[in-house]
Order: sequence, then C-alpha cells, then structure tokens
Amino acid sequence: MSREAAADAATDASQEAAVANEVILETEGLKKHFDQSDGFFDRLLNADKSVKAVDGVSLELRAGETLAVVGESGCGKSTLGRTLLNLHEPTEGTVRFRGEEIGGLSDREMRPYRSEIQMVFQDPLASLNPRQTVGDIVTAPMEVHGIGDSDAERTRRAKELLERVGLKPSYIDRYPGQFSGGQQQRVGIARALAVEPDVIVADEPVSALDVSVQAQILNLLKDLQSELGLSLVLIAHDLSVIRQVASRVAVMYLGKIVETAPVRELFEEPNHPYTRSLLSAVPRIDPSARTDRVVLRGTVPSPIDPPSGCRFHTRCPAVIPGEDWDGSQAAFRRAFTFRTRVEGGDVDVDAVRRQMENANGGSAGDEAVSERIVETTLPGEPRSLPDDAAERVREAARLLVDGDAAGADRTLGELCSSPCAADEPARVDTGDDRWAACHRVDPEYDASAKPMEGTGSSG
Amino acid sequence: MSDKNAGTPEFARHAGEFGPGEVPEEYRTEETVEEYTTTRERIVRVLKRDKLALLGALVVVGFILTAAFAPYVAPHGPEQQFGFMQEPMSESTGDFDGDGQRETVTHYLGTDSFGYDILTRIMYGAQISLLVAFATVAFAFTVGTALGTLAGFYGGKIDSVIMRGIDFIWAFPTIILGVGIIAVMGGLGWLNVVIAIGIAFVDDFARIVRGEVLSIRQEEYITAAQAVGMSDVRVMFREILPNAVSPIIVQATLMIPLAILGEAALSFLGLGVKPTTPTWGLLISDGRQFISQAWWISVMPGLAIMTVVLAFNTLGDGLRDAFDISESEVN
Repeated sequence: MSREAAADAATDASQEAAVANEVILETEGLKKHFDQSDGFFDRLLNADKSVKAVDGVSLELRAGETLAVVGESGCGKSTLGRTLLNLHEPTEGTVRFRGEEIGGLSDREMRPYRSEIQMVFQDPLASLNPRQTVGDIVTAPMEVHGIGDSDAERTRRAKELLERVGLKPSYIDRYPGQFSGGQQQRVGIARALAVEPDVIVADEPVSALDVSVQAQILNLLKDLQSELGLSLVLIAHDLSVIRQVASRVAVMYLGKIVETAPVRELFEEPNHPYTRSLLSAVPRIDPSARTDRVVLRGTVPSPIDPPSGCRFHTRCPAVIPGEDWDGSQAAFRRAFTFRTRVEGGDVDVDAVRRQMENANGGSAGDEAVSERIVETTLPGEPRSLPDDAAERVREAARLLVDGDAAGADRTLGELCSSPCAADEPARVDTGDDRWAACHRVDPEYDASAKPMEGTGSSG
Repeated sequence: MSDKNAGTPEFARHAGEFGPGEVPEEYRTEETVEEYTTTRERIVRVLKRDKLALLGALVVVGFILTAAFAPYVAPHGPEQQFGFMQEPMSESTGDFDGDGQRETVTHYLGTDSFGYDILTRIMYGAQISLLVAFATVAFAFTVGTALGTLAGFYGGKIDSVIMRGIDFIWAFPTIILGVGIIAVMGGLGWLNVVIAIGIAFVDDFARIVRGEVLSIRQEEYITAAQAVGMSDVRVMFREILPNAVSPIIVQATLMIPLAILGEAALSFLGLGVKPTTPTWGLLISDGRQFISQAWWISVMPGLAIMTVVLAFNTLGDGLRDAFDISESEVN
C-alpha cells in the first residue's frame, strides 16, 4: 500500500511539473496510411485500400512527463511511435520537436534530431544485432553522433551506461543472446541513453518480459526519467503498466486518440466509453471489485475502411439512440448490433439455410430462415425491443433472405439512426488538462435524454 | 536479475517465505553464460567433427602451400627439359643441376611433349590456376555482394534495374559469357580471365546476398540502427552484411572449383593466359594431340583439377552444414 501511495505522490509531483513545463514533442493531425493497392487493376479501379494506421492524431508531450499511449493491438500505437521518430514518413500532418518540424525530413536532415529522440523496442532480442557485442551496440550511437573522442573514451562511457541501467560493466564483451530478456531490454535502454536524448519513445518495452522483470524495467525507466529529466512516450496495451509509470494517458482506438487525461483522473473517472471498457478489463484480485465489467463484443473494424462518425460506434455500449427511437438505450444497443452485423456482411443467408436444411432433413422456407437470422444475429429477444422496431428488424431479415442487402441496410439505417454513426465527435474538454472525443460528453448532443443504463447488461 | 538474488532475503519475514525477486535455495542457479560462437569457431568446430570436410580443408591447404612454394618444392625448373614424353616413374640421367656430375632423376608423373617434367609443371600451374580461381571468386564476391546489398536494401527501381542485369548474366552459360567478354576486351592474360569468369559468377553472389538482405532488413535491429541515425552505408556494411556472411562464405567455397574449371576451360580453348605459361587447363590442352601415345600428359593435370575441386566441394558442404544453410539457398 505504502508503495502505491508513494508512486501516486511521485506521479502527482511529475504532473505538477509537467503542467508548468514546455511542450517538447507535438503532433498535429498526424496521419500515416499504408498503401495496400499494389497492382495495375487496383490503380485502374482507383480503390483506396490504404490501411489508415494513424488517422489524425494530435498529441503533445511535455518536458519531463511520461505520456502513455494505450489501445488494443492493431490500433496504430506502434505506427504512431515510429512516425514520431520519423521512421515512417507521415502521410499528412506534422511532428514538431521543440517547435521544429521533423516529419518527413531526410535521413541526413533528421540526424541531429536522432540524438534527441530515441526509441526502446518491444522485443529486446530482436532489436539487438546478434553479431555485435554489447559494447559495439552501445558505442555505435556515440560514433554516429560524434560523442566521445576515442574508442577508449566511448567504451568507458558505455560501461558507465551499463552500470546505470543495472548491468555489470564486465558484460561489455558479451553478445545479446547471452542475456535474459530483462537484461537485453536494459541493453536496449542503454543504447537509447547513449546519445543523451531528451525524449524516449518506448514501444511496449515490457510486454515481452516476465511480470516480475516488467516491474524492474519500469522502475528503471522511472528512475532514469527523474535522474536525467527525460520525457517518455510509453506505448502499451497493459493498463497496470501505465498506472505504474505514466503521468498522462492518451487512449487510442483505430488510429485516433479518443481521450487523454492525467493518469489518476483517467483511472478514477474515464469519460470515453472505450476507456471505460478498457479499464474494466484490468484483472483484479478481488472479484467483488469487478462488478462493472464492460465486455466489448465484435471484432475491431478494419482500419482499411473504418466506421463512419465515431469509429467506436460499432462496438460502443453507450451508443446514443436516434431521436425517433422510443425504446431504451440497451434495446437500441441490441438493435444497433444487429444493424452493424448486417451491414458488415456477417450474416451468411445461404449458410443459415443449409444448416437448417441439414438439421431438419428437408427444405427451409424463407420465413423460417429469416426468423432464424433474427434469432442468431440479434442479441437478446426480439420481444424486448419496441414492437415496431422488432417488426422492422424482421422485415430487414426478410429483405436479406430475398437477396436485397441494400434494402435491408436502408431499413435498418432508418430504424437505428444514431449521431454516433453520422457525425464525427469533436474534442471536448472535460476537465482540467483532459479531453475526450465522444458525443456523450459533448453538450451539443443531448445524450442525457437517453441515458445509458446498467452498462453490464448491454452488449 | 540473478545478482540481486544473492545474500539474505529482504522481504521474507519467516522461514520459507520469499519476497519478490527471490528464489528458493533449491532453484537458485549459478550464473551461467551461454557460449557465443563466432563464425571462425563454428568453422573450426565443423572441421573437428566432419572428417571429410577436414580432409578437404587439408588438401586445399596442401595445394595452396605447394603453389606458393613451387620454386622450393618442385623437383625441377619449369623450363628444364628432359626426354620427350617419358612415362610416369621413368628416369633421366644427366647433369641437371650444373655441378659437372651426372645424376639420375625420377619423373614421377612423366614428361610432356616438350620434355618438361609434368609434376613440376603441375606445381607451377597450381600458382596460376589457384590465383586465378581465388581472384575470380574475390571479384565476383565483391561485385555481387555490393550489387545484391544495394538491390535488397533499397528495393524498388534500383532493385529492378540491378536484378534485370543479374538475370542477363545468369541467362548465359558461364563459358560462353567468358568467351564473349574476352573477345570484347581483346588480348590474353590472367587478369582478363579473372574479369571474364568473375562477371559470369556475379549473379550467384548477388542473388544470395539480395535474399539475405531482404530478410535482414525487416529485423528490428535495423530499425533500431536507423533510429540511432546511422547512414545507409553503415547500416548495410556494419549491421546487415555481418549477418549475411555465412551463406556467402559457403557459396565462395563452392564457386572456387567452378572458377578453376572455368579458367581451365578458357585456357584449353586458347582464350586464357599466354600459351607458354603453365596452367592446368593449358597442360591438358597441350597433351590433347598426344593422348593416344602419352595419356599422362593430359590425365595428370586433369587429376590435379579433380582432386582440388573435390576437396573444395567437401569443404563447402561441411561449411554449409555448419552454418545450417539449406541446399536450395546456395548452389
């Protein structure tokens, strides 16, 4: 307990320092799209098949703080990290280091900044050249940036660095394969520190390590930060990791930041429904503390063709019902899931029919098939929906069976209209030094009229 | 960290309790370091284990030493003449060392149509043949590795241009390409042979290196090197190539016998070195007219080629096993 309190106090202190401090690294509308269309026909059809890994991220990192970027795998966190270092050239938007634009600089122009921004990688072994000794690995950045006058001087510095990250100086002649995972990550940190950077981007620095070693590495990062005045961008998917070291958190979903807040406030009162569901997924030892689990259903939508409006609306438990919906929000969520599944092409009419025919040993009528589709695709009972809504859902299923997928989409689109699917949520300041991008917190949308009841029951 | 486990536990308050980072006595292990094997150590290890490869290596070393010290080990001078076309193990009697006394010498491999001692000629021929072979492979190695690295590292247009050129070389049989290059360059001489066969061998190295570079380029330590700010040249030569060296070494060992054969073939065709220089290919060529009367003139240098080619091949196969490289990767 006392340890936790001390950690909180430290976080508080660094928060206060961070508020007063300047912005050191900053992105504005940063986008990184990966082109997937590789072929003459793709170009001919003009199909935009780029993967929108990072799609309009505005962030700022202040001097001396630890900014955690958190999100599910595949949400673009690592791409964001690499784009910050200009290892990926941004498709659009800017990255500024101390006010100077560094996005898209050539290797040569970028070199001076490379000694200011360094990176720690996820897989410690893969990030170390297997044919170089630890000494070679740690002195190479110094050679590149002209730090130290002679090889002997650089080796001496490398030994100091090894000691600083908790390794024996005598390890300098060993090869990466001879170390444990935690030690390898310490070498990776020593390499990053070799050029005395101001900013370190740590891309999942502990997710490849044992839990017991994770804490050691995180503590090392924290100690180094306070000793050297580093600013850290910590990319992670593990919220317990973030709680331990971060001062501010940015929550990322499908290439966009949905919420940022100081770490304590985020954990105490998450604003965005996505953050809420992430937090409820943190394992707890005491089962009674696990009452309000928000389980996300469905798969993460493809970043090639992200959902319209709020990107989270396809899975959001708190999706806002349209104005002409007269049922409850929970009922709307169920109908909306039906809509998402139908629109996403998840319903295979032929497969349902074949399955029924196999089970019955005979033919299955259209009516029966559409009933079955409603049964299997709609969460919960159709009865619990408002009567006209249930009828519209059945109608959509019938249209689907008739092969009129567009008609089904239209019917459901009219039934389950939601501002979440229509408009992109804007950044709304929700408190001191925090914001979220969600219609629920936006005063322009009167979400209070359709409150979200009992998050646990929805989904 | 194992070094923190030593000493008395800080967290355990009662016997049998262990705090974080502590390990019960029975699970505590001595700090051990896995042995790192360098390329050289691996080669030595395979030679110790694989007797055939060791034999190959010894034969290769034997030939190299013989060639290097030919003036000291050869029984006669290369231009010293005896009776024409004497059989192997025949003897000549006369004053050969100029001391005024007559002595008897044995021609272990016979003499050729000019009366030169064949064993002597083979030893001197090894100088040119091996030198040309090594120089050829060194040339192909350097050019091929450079081209393959550039193609693999940069990809895109550079890759396309380089690899189409490589395909062009690859499409020609070695000897025909060599003959063509010598015809274009004009003139004879060992340097021309080296360049001609070397160019014909560039494709083998370029392909292997490109493949290796393509896969190594994806490794995270390359990203790390770029994040550190290393130049492309440094990334290529300090980070990528040392990791691609094993298949190139194996390929080089397997290309040397082909280079020896290539040089012999060009010399046999009269496109190699000057006709009077003893090389294995020329020795075979010289004996061709007399093959029915004196088989040993052609067969003896042929045996020398066979031996050294076999030796290099067994050595190369051993190294291939040592580096665990698949047959398809190197050929």
